[in-house]
Amino acid sequence: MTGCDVEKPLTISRRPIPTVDHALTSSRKMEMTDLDKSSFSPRADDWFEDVTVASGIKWTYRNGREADRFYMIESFGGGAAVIDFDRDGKCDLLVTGGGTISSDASIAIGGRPSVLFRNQGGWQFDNVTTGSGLSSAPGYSQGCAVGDFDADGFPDLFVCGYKGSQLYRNCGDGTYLDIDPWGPSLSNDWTTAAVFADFDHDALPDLVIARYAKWSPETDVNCSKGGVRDLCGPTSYAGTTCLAFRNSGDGLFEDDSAQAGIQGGVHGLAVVAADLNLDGWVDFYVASDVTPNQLYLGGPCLPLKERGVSAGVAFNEWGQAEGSMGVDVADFDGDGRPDIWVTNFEREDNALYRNLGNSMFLHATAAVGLSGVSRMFVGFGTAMSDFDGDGWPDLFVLNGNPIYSAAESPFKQKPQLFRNLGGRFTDVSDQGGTFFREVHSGRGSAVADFDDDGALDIVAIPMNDPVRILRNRRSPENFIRVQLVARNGEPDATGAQVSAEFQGRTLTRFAVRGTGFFSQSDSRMIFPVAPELETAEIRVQWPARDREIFRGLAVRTTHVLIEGHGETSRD
Amino acid sequence: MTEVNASSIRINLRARSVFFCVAVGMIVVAAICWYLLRSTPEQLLERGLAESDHDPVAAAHLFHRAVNAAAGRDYPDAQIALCRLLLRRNSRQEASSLFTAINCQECRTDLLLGFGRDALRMEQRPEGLAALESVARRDVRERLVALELLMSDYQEWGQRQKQLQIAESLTEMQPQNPQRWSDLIELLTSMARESECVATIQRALQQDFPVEFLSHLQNSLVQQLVNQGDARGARRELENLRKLESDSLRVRGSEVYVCRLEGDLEKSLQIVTTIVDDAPDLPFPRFTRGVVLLDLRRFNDAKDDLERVIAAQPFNAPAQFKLSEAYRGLGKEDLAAKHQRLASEIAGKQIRITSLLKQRDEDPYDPMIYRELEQLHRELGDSGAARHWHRWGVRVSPQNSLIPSAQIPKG
Repeated sequence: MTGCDVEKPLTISRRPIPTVDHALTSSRKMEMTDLDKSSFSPRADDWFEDVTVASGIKWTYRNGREADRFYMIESFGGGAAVIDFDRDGKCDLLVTGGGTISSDASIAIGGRPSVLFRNQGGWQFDNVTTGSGLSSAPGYSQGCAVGDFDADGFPDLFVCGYKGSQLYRNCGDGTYLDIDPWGPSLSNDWTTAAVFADFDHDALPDLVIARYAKWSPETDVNCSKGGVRDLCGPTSYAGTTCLAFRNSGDGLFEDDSAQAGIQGGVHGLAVVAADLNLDGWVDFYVASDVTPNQLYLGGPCLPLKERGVSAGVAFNEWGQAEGSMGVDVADFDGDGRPDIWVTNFEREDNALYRNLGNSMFLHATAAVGLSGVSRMFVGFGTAMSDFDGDGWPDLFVLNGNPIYSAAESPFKQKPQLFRNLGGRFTDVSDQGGTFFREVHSGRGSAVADFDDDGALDIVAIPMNDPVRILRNRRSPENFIRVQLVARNGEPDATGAQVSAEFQGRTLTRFAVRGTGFFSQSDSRMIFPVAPELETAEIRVQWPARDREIFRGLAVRTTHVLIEGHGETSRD
Repeated sequence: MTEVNASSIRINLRARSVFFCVAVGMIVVAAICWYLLRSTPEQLLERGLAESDHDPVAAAHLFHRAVNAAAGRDYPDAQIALCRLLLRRNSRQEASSLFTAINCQECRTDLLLGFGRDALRMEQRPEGLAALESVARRDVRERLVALELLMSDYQEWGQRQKQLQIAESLTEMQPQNPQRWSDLIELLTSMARESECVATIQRALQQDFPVEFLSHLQNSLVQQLVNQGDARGARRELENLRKLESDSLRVRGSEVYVCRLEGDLEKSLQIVTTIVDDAPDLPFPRFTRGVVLLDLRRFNDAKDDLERVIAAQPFNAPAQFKLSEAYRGLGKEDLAAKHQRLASEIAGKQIRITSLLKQRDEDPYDPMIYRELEQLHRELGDSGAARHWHRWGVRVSPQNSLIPSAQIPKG
């Protein structure tokens, strides 16, 4: 079925299994012809090349700063969703638009529509927003999330914002239909980030939404330093709660926050879903601005248990809450456990929480050589991903100060890139490329293999400056890419673990949702493979279910691994 | 008889005319003399100032006369002198209301400075600050004294923002004075203005100071760069410090943190262990070693060090937190939770103290602030600080009438 029948009530059936089992797309070598015409001149050893101009991606997230109202919502910028909306196997891109703020007495806050770019291949993107159903803006938008809430096989969208939270159902024909499954309470609220994941174990993706504060123009606080008006810090507003909406399966989402055990007192800016303690149940991690970060551990039944403090992931290394923004989850030290990476405000270290097992983490920033490196920056968008194809997850941080003028570090800042040398990191920002040698008002970011060369590219969403696309130039010699499809649980298999052997090590990747900042990255997983191999073997631990082995998978190919199609393993 | 009488009458008339003329002449001469010899307002002021120490009543009379003598125009010098006298006689309200009418900009510098000093001493703070600030704006010799008095007052009242402005001015005026730089750097450090602090230390290092002070500055620079997370800069400056004082205790102490910043945890541990060996009873080196041991995931060793720190300093929040991490690493969840809870309680109180001190910066006359500070310090086992804030609470309580009511004149 394609197209959305607005008259017909929505009923969710099981997701159609893709007919293509292997080789959904083959990898493509990038055509450089167009890029050579561009004006930038990267160094030979640069990891990334800015291909924005040639790509056709032309978009700027706007926060309404020009009105000089200094509203709290201006602080955080927008995000990007990597989404294969047309299921052609290539990563498309949605970027939120932000909004406008009137400077006259009327105090009108308007929305700018999000924009959808279709990946045509060869680093060519077409703006297909017009006619997609996304060209109207319900409100001032910020973060976004991707999930197939109606299990029809086509990824749906959720856009957060001030009076702009909107769920878009993918009709399967290249169009989206905005639906309002929760009524005006959420539509009038301010939401920042969200993630689709199944917290009530009914195999349907529910929605967990981060909120920052109860803010409105009427409650706006006037903040200034040295007589200069600027944006307020988080302490100017009381924290609030995240929201947990249960997907009822009939097209409606019900606020289940209380039953889910959601607790208050956060300035939520990111929410990530993954099985962080490897017990088979999806957990949620909430990054909060100056209040303790929260860790909700899932179990066989609700409520989720908030264990941020006792698990050691709520504070910095001295026991203080930090201004946390972006989050990612990966196994940085090769011990098979998911570690948590959090970007923070200036004068603070970004936090790397090493997973010790048994739901215990240890602040490990100093231990891995990252102490101090972020103290003169404000980290927003981030990724802990293997950018150089050596199997070790590296770190990308997109920096920028939310305060326009009155802060220790400047409004625009350089991004950072750290190479993982086997559990320790070294700063390679200078080799990052031209983008890393410039300053930006960095906010949202996502990673994806846009050109399917096995190397993760970056999309950065600066505030009030054009979106930037960075092509990763360090594609691995050999690789394999997999996408999970669960049949006995939530289709995207959030919480699953996937592993492969490489150079005598077991590489483990995790099905994680909501990473980065205000964004959704490529959900496919890439593993480097020894150059001489033609095939590879992948092991999948489905959430709270079986472990399966998929053997003989051809390299340099995307494989859709469907639950039940592998060989069951008892290892 | 008729002729005799007429003649006698003529004589009398002539005598009277002469007498009248002489009298008028004398009056005119007296008036001219009075006019020529009368006291000017300036003379009255000087006489009043001379009298003010041993005969305040006479001095006040003379100041009033000086003001009156300046009929038709203000005479702020006499007014401020009178104000000062009133203060000395404890007529605060009268002094305060008179002060509001004075244009400080027109006052003589020495009189304004004297009034300002006395006003601060007499707890008439708003008037004193206004007078001293007026002097501090002048390009005169007395500016230095005024700035020093202001610095001392703002420091006492915890108004760091204003204190910083004064410290900058004093340093600019006396760049050859190490104390000026020291005060400024200390202030910037306490305000966590790291970039400015580093720049200030670097400027101070350009001065021709004794080697001991340069060494002190160099050590501060290393610490600031460590705080900023600048490992390369901190290492460079540490090596410069080493040239000045070889492998002193503080060189080694700083190197522990530089090594940690560089990610060289083994070397960091090795150095901090030499410090612990040299000073086994000092809590801070032991705490630092516990931190490094935790980095290295040597949980049991870290626990041993941190427990000793806690025994000596039970209200050390970072040590309590680090101990909870050590217990978490050892899988002792109950003990981890206990020390985590203690750390949070202590840190919560410390955060509240910081917040109250910021409030005090804006409104130092609120007695509730001091009451809460006293209570929090008592709960944190710091009876000395609790007593200190208790005294402040008494000092600003409404009964002591220190809360300013006067309108402070501009200028």
